[in-house]
Amino acid sequence: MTIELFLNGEHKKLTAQADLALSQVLQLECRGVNPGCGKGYCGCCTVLLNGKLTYSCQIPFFSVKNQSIMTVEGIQTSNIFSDILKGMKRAKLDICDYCAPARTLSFYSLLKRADRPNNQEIQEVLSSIHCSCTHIPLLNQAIFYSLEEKYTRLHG
Amino acid sequence: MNERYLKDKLLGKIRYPQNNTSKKILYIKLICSPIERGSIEELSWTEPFPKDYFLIKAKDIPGKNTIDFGDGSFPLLADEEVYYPYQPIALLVGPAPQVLKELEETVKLKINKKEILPEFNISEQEQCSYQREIRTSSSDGLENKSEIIWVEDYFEMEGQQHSSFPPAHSRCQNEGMVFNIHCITQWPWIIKKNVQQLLKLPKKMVKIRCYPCENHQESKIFHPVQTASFCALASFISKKNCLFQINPEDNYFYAPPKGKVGIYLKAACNHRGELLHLKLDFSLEGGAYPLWSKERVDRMCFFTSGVYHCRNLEIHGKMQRTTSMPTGLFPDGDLSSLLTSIELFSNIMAEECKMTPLEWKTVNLIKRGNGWFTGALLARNPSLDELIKAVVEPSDYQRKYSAYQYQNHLIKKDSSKKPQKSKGIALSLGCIANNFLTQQRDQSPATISMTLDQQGLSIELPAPPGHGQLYKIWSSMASEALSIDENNIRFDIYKSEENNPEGPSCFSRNVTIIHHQIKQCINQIAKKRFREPLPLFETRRFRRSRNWDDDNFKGHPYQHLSWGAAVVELELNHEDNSINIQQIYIVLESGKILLPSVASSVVNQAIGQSLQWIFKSTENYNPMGENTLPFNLQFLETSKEPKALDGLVQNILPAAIMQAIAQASCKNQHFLPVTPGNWERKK
Amino acid sequence: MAKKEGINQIYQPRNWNDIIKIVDNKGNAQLYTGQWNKNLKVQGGLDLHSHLIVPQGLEELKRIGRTEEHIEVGALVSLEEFINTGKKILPIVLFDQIRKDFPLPLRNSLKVGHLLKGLQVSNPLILLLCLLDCSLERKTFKTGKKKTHLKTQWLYLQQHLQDKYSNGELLCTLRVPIYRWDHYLIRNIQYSGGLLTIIALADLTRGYVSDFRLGFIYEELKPLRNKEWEASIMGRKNLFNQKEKENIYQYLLDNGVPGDEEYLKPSLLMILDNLLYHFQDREY
Repeated sequence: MTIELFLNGEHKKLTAQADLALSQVLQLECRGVNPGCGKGYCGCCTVLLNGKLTYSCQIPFFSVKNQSIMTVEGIQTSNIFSDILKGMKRAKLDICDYCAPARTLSFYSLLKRADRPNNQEIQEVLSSIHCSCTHIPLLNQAIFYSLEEKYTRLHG
Repeated sequence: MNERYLKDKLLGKIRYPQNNTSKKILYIKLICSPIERGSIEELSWTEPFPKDYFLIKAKDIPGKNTIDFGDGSFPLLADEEVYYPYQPIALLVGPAPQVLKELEETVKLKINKKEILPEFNISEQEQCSYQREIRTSSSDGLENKSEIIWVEDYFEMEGQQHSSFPPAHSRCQNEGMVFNIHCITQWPWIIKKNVQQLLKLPKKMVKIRCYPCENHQESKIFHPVQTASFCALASFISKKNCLFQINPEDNYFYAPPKGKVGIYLKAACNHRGELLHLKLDFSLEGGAYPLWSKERVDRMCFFTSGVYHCRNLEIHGKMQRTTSMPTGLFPDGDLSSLLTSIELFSNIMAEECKMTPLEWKTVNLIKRGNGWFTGALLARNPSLDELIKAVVEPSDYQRKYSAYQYQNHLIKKDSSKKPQKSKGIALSLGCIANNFLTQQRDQSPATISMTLDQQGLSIELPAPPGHGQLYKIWSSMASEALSIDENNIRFDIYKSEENNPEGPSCFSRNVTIIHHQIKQCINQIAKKRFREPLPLFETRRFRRSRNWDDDNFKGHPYQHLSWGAAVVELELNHEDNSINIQQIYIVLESGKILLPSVASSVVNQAIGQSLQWIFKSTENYNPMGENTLPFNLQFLETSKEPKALDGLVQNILPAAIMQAIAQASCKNQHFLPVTPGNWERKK
Repeated sequence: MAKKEGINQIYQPRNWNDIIKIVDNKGNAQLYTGQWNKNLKVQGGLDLHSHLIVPQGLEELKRIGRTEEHIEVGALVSLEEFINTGKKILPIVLFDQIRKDFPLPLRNSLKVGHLLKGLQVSNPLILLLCLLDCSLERKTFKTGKKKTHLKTQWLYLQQHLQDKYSNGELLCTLRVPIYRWDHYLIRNIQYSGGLLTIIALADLTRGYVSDFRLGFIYEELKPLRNKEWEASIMGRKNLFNQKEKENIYQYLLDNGVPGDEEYLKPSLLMILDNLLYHFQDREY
């Protein structure tokens, strides 16, 4: 079936089997989606569906008609992405290639949503991606630094 | 970290084999055996396949239907008989994955059931693929002495499970009958060799393009060989580009099996707690096609007494064939199971000798000048005393151990006063060495070559390094020594047409072997520079130490050993046996740490792996949950050379956790994973 | 209306009449509630029902309503929205459990209908919903001689679980009583016989138990709950005496839970012993 959707802000028409997982369709379109386990566990295929963090391997293609999907490519020009980049660099975060795009997107969703997220919100974002490549306190640190960068950018 | 590199990483610009898919690519679906063991009676299809769809059977393979690792092999596609569940029998190839799924249902597969092999059992003698017996002394003289304390015990452990992602997808580009294979691998040479044999092709027609591994891939040295071979075979027959994508339903690739290890230990100690004699009888489960039997059994034989000194040994080790999938290989083989058992056993021995575990360990620690039973001497002091000091003091181990022992004493006296929660603390020690023990020419070597010309410096590596950050370290090292701009330093992976055999690459191997070779090459080029005309060429080849004779088990195979110690404190809730880890102290002595951030992430990953191994799943313990694990990590840098790190944590942490559980529950642990079913299990 | 793609059929009706027609023709058609290969243990690829209803419009399925006593949530409200709307008035235990079971990205894609239809009976959430006295709106389609008509029925979740699943029904709304349980305890006892989950909820007023719920769930058995115990506990200062605890253990055995004198029984008795201690320890 062919459906219309908004991918990274652009209006697109995609053709694929209706019951394919969205991650399988998106991996042909974008580099930032890495289908991992396909079972909604690893979180490497995370995208923003209508601005909300979602596992794209758990979303059937037919259900995204006229919806807005954002992958990591869609946020690369945003200020928040540069805050995240700076924050990760400051924290000397050594993240693996496979989960990096999904992790970035999850940080983005958190930073976009809240200026001062509480611990529970941070933990929820961290635990949505099950990749053990990086020590959790280091990820926490990266989030704090990113938030700091955002604050400095907005308030000087 | 280079900002551009980090940005590319975050934006997912790092390519993987599955990313380059075009519309003309063909997909592959596996047809697997639904039963464990049987003979294939019929493989047919009810309806004719649509155009461009076809089936590949074992008989269609032009060359040798074998995946050969040098030490063990198995057929790529089962021909007449199947020996384990989900064994691949045929490949369905076609342009649309969904149609392949439908076609799979039309394929008729008839397999006659056959008798399966006996289940894993330490006393099984017939189904052995390899065994070794070593006896350095006999226990006859000790049997009748009254002051000798004899202790014996049996431990059974399920092996560790491989990490399942990133999945080892593979793609083959057929460019005028030159096969460019794109895959994530640690061992490109073995893929090339197998594809050549499979398709009966000359060397020049098979090219391997490796993708970044990261440290997730540590254990995956055999899955990519299969996936790459499937692609190459389909591409050879169809004359098109093919992609083998692992799907969640491919059980075989998603849930690599865990072989069991059975270990029987019997030891004699004198009244001072000194270990006088040790008998080890162990058996490894090798699956239907045991791989690296010799390597795995020998490695366990070498480390029989763990970090303790004992030269009077009786060892009998073997690998058993069973009706299960072939098991892979970890950087440390199955050493983690053995060292965990030895540590658990040392606690039992200490108890029998009426000593604390710390006292017993201190008496028996291996020291400089102590020899291995193979005749080799330990040239450097392993600094185990320092390691113990570094974990015992901050964790307040001695005081807490006594307090918890007293608590247990009170519970044993009056069981009605059993508290709802109790605590345990334990100390464990371990060691690791990478490299293969075998002298086989294709398992161990690694060649580095370096060329300095007018364009800059080009470094050729045998496989992608275990971590992307190593490129950065090596290029800054070369840039400093040769005063070349870092942008003019290129890394090529496995490009030379000569293709010498290369062993698998991993993070530890890179930092101990490749790093050393690169350093030597740079020094040589620096000496030659301005004396000889450009281009300057330098190469270094690693070979196994000549001090080691693997047939007679004599000498010293390892140049560098890494050591580690851990203390774990935990709380056990008796209501539902849930475990709450309160503190972990880990001190590792693995030489110079090249990349502190990478080293800590390797350790972090190893902790996750160990916990999954101990508790079987993430259900009991979720490392990503709200209660982040409180762990303290310290590296003791005693030497200038970097040493192995992978697998070290898996060798020390499980033993400490299991001992702490044993103390908290007043029950010695003999089985891994630690599940309530195993708690109650009789030996 | 119907679109044939691959193996599955997806319907996008705009009103109840269309739904009636679909369900009448395809008895096993179900509402699409975001569940997609959720069951991680099943290794069989994508796990879609053969006929899916994805309503376009039908706002009542996407609405959260409130009365004095209840909150009514449509089957197509996402779990995250449900949590965010109800967190101030509904029991915290329900949200803690949903958060524990589903990570944030899954909560964003899964709908409330998934709780009613997609979960296995052994899931503790089902027991929890039963203990909270949740009820649900079931729409069934009756085909008469001349026309098919829609029948709406409210029933308790426990009652619904006792009924056999019949084709041609849709679960449309979940109704959760507004009551904040101050204390709760969820324990899993994993023993050689399997996994037994215990959930206890309580409200304490000046040290006396003013309200109490206790339920068990064991693998594929239906949730076990005995309202007589709950009634007998109310107004007490202490919970169960020794004889009552023994009775509870016996009740479990009678209902098909495999016994285990060595491990299950002592653990169960210990948990029941310490219930009050836990409740006093956890004040919200």
